[in-house]
Amino acid sequence: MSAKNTKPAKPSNVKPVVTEPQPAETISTKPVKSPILKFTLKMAFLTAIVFGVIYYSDEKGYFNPDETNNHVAKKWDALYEMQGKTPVDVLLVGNSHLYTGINPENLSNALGATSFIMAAPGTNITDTYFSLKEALTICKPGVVVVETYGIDDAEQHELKEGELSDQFKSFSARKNFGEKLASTTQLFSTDNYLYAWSNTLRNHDYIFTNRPQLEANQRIIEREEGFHREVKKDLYLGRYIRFRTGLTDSLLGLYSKKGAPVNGKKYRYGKDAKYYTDKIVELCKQENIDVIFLTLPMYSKHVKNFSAWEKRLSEVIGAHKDRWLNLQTNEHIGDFAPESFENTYENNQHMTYNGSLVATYKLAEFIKKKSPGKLKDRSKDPEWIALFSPIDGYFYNQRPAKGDTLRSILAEDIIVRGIKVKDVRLEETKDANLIMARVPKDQLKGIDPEGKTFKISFRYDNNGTENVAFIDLLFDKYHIPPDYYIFTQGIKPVKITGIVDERKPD
Amino acid sequence: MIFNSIDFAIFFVLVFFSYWLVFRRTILMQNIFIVAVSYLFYGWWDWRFLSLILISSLVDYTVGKHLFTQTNEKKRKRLLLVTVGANLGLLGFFKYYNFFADSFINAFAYFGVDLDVHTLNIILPVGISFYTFQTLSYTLDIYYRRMEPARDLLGFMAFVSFFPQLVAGPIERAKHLLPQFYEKKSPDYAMLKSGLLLMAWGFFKKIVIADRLARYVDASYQDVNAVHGAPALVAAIFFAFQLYLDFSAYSDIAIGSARTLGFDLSPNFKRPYLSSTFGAFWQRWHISLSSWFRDYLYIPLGGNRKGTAKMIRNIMIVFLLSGLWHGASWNFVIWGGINGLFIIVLDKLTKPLNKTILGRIASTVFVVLMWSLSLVFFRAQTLPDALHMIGNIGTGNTAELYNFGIAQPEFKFTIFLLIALVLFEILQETGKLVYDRFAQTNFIFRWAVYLSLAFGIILLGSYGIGVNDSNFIYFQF
Repeated sequence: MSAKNTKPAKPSNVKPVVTEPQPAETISTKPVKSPILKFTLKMAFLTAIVFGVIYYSDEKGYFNPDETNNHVAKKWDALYEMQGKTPVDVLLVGNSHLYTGINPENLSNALGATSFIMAAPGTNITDTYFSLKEALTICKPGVVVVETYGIDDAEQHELKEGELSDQFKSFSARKNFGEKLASTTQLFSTDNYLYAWSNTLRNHDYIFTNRPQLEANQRIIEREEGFHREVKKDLYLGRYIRFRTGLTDSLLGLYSKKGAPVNGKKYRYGKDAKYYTDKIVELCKQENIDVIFLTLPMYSKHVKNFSAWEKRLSEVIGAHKDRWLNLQTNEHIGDFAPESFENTYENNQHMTYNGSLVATYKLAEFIKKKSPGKLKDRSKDPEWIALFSPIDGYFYNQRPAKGDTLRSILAEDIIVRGIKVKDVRLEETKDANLIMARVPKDQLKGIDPEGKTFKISFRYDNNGTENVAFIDLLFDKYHIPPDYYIFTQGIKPVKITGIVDERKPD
Repeated sequence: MIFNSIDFAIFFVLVFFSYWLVFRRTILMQNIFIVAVSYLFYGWWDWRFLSLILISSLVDYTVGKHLFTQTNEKKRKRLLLVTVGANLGLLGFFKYYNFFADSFINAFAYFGVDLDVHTLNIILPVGISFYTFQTLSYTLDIYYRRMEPARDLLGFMAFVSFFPQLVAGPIERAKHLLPQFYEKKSPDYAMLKSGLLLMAWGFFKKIVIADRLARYVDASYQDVNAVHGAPALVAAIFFAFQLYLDFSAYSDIAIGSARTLGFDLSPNFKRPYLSSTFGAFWQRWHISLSSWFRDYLYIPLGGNRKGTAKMIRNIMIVFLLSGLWHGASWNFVIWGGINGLFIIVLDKLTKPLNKTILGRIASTVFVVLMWSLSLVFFRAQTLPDALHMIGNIGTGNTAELYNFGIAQPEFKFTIFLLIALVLFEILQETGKLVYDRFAQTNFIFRWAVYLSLAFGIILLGSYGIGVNDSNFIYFQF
């Protein structure tokens, strides 16, 4: 709009507004032979330098995010570390609900097989599929457990900032170049390809926004420590307990006041969810692996209209409904007390350590029922025992290892108060001992053991004199192996010499 | 597809090599290829709107042929009306239907009459204002007998849809661009290099500077009630630079990418922020649109040949319509009107200043400041927001400067970039052929510049997850 300066002139005589030469017109040019080749070679050289520097920066870790608590990377490191040494029998895949809701140590010990959790926070079933696919390149489990919380309505290429950040974390932690490359286009929209592969590109803004992280990275690089979290010498099975304390009274009051924050009627699943759930089933079929779907619960009052949710979810799980352990249903939800759940009114409620134990033993029982013979019994394998006997849940499920001086079986196959008891065990610790009776479930048919005590009499050595005492063992509502109820009680460190068996005269 | 995306990077590399290695061998192959990739480029956004480009091309090609052969002036006028009607009809429907419908409803409601006019959920096709004006100029030029019609439909379709400038210009004249589709192209190393360098410079301006300014501006305009004093002033000035850098970056990338394929596009900007009058400013800003309005509206209306009153009328018509061209909102109309008044009133006032160097500097700063203020209407979502923002502008409240989208270190870096940019433009303005001199420097210096540009974009660019919407501003027009 150079209106004011336009001279009166015939339209045909109007001169172009700008006459200044552009760069290409000003440069004196010598003819170049094969200009495209020369241009291409120079561009290739420039591109190689640029990508070389980015690769170097990524390898060194100048723009790494804070890796202090990267348990997803730790999981992958551990799984790769186990390759060829400790075969994985049950592989569990999903997101944060899984690694907070299932205790792989107890699950392994309950099954006498190795279980491993490969789960990344904030991810959905698409990521689960690709993580599973990579995991199956390094392990051949008999059973794969798929947690269903990731079956949602998120479309992978439309993930928002926070969800993407979790997706990047999961992707970065994986190690198989080919698998990662093949999954890039499915996991990310085109604009995010480079961010998925390069911390330098993704976090370049640290220059302005996160100097402390850059300095921390610099220190790590200078000390040549390496960013990657070392897998501890002891076994890591992918557990990550975030919550120890359950719902408080004030929060329980909120449920009465405001009702359930989650409405099952609002549950939706997307095309991606259906597609990748089917792909998981297909993949497992190809690999001759049994699939089990697992829905971990939220507190009963946290969810309303769960039946609507269940109905929609069953459309996805489809033909595999009989292999679905749904712990939110009335059949199971009553077994999860308020202390089983994260103290939050937010939609996304996880489980506590205690809750995870209940869910774990229910899962163990389900696996045994649905996949009989699919898992190797490793409970007598000395190598397996050496690995698993020091970890959580072993003593509840397996015989003490040879040479274990702290744990012993006091009596086996005895009758106490008319009830057959499989065994009575003792675990000695520094401060107090734990006495435990394992009662076959069929012995308590029709009885709800919740809140019940089981009284046993035992003999002990009192400065050279044998005395008899009794103790009330409490029902352990968290450790419920597939075949037994467990009753336990702490006891002062006395030398127990025997358990009173009603079949044998005292 | 937008230029600053991985999609475009892949697309352009494939197009570049396919074009030079395979399709440039014959003009037919070249034009088939250009039409195909341009339609792909546009269809990537929404393939349904390809039909509009096709309709526009078919109508103008057919009318152009008939206009040229027709000697009866009445019939020629009728033909012109057909093409103007078809082009402006599509533009009017897709861009302005809801605006006029809403305006009618509001106007009648003001007088207590409730009109039951339905507004439609219309998607604005990207670039419709640009390619409509480009095709219109073709038929108008034939009508005024300034040029001959296109030789064939394919070449004309390539001219209308040529992907580098399809969605945001420069709005090319058929006289300049159309003949280039009938030439067999040979690769020229200097053209390839300068084209790519121009693209890189465009990407640098867009990603490193404009998108960083955008974060400040977006945060400020998100809640105009929360911006007072200096932050409001900074937001206004930053937006002026954001708009310039964003749009000139688009033009640079368009011109550069076309140049690497052997095509010459018209320049669109010539350091507008060094103008010491508004008249000069509009000769340097969005040149392809300014000259379009000059040639097809201002001059046919009589320009400045029929006295001061008519000149003022013509200027105001041009600027009000130019505002409306930018967007279907009263804010744009007001912005256009304000700039028309600037030319009519302020240029007279600053005329004495322009006699000395210091006076010209002061006048240049004044032009940029007033332009920045006018852009508040361009940027604000609503008229009350714009008025509120202008009312909040001041020089106090400096403690709040770093609270809008970018923190202190980045804010300072942004100021540094703007100063560097202005100095660079002053250097260009002095007539030094910066590119020519650069091309003659030694290998090490040139490669240091190439790598600095590349790493500047990669490491200092304002891009990434959740940073901001990185679309080019003029895409919406």
